[in-house]
Amino acid sequence: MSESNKKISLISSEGEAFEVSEAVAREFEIVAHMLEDGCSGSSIPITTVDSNILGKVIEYCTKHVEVGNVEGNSEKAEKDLEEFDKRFIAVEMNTLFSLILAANYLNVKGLLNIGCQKVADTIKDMKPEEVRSIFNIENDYTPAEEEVVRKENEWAFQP
Amino acid sequence: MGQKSSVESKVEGRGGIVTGPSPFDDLPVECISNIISFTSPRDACVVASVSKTFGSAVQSDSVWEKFLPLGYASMIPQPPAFSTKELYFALCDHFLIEDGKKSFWLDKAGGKKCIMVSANELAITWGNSPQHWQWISIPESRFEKVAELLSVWWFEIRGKMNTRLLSLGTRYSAYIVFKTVNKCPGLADLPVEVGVGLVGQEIPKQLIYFDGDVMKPKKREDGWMEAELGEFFNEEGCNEIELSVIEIKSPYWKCGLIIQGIEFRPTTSR
Repeated sequence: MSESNKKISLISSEGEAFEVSEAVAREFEIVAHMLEDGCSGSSIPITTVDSNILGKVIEYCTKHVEVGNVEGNSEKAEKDLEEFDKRFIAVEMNTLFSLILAANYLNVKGLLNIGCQKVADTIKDMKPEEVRSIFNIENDYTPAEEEVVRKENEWAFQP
Repeated sequence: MGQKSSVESKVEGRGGIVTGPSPFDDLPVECISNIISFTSPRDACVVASVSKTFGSAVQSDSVWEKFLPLGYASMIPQPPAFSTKELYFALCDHFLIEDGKKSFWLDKAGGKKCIMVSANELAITWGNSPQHWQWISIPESRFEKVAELLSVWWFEIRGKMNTRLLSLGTRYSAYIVFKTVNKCPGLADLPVEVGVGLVGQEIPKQLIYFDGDVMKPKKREDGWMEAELGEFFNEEGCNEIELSVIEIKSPYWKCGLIIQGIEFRPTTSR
């Protein structure tokens, strides 16, 4: 376990350095791959993620590493982690999407999944018009194209 | 814009309305696919109409792989499809498994496993006695043989099924799938005691009628009739369910019933 004492600096898009343990940094699969490819530098630039979001992603990974290191009592730990995830992802829409984008880029699977699940819960049972309206999505289908897609999926619109 | 207010009220507490550019604009399409894979097959087909990007996100194999039940590969007779989405919809059409003793398909809206057990797999009292029951082939059946009731006094059908064939964490309803001939004399408006539940637990009983006015059975899209035997929750640790359909109280001879099998599909919330 000697390597877990090693510190790594993650540099946000604003140039701010976040010092984390190697174990936490390895939760970012993209970083884990860099380390395995022999990138031994102790500071890694994460140019596409700003300080606010990077800080949150690190918070998420730190919690998950901590819980993963505790032995025994796994059922309670799992419950706690579930609770943590639920609170962690209860953020406003723009932050939620930034977290998804960052988790996708950094390849933090657990965070990506809870983020996507959160958005999925929002669009569940909604009509296309509602999804467009809520997320301000432009309908770029021509009426004829939309008609074709609707027809193809007609069954899904029936009660 | 009168419509919008209803939308707004619907999403209260779901994160609010976005003003300015859509947050979806920044997401790569595989992220949108990932989000859609956390909804349901029905939701996926609905949101395909949102925009072109959504339309192509829904086509992704990763979405439909998530909707397919675990271990589906071993159930497929031959892979007929070209994309995972096509495979999914191919599996929504029923096909025979286990040497034609059961019929299998996916519930289209939710991707849950559905099964019909053929009458041949059930324990029918006097079922092998040709003056009481006969086994016939009719084109509208999924199975090679269906059971036609000629005449019995003791009407008793029992069955068991391994719940491994069904989706976990899902509430199922069981239905007897049948047709009547000449309004099934001697049975039509008699209450028939039915039940379904996990083996080893007490099984709740209820009454059904094969015909008559008391409680009409439901007409199915495939032309057959169905009556519900009950519900059960399929979870980890369940191994086997049993079911029964019994009428032995009336002293009259019963006839005129054709039984295709027992169907298990997710309970729809009412």
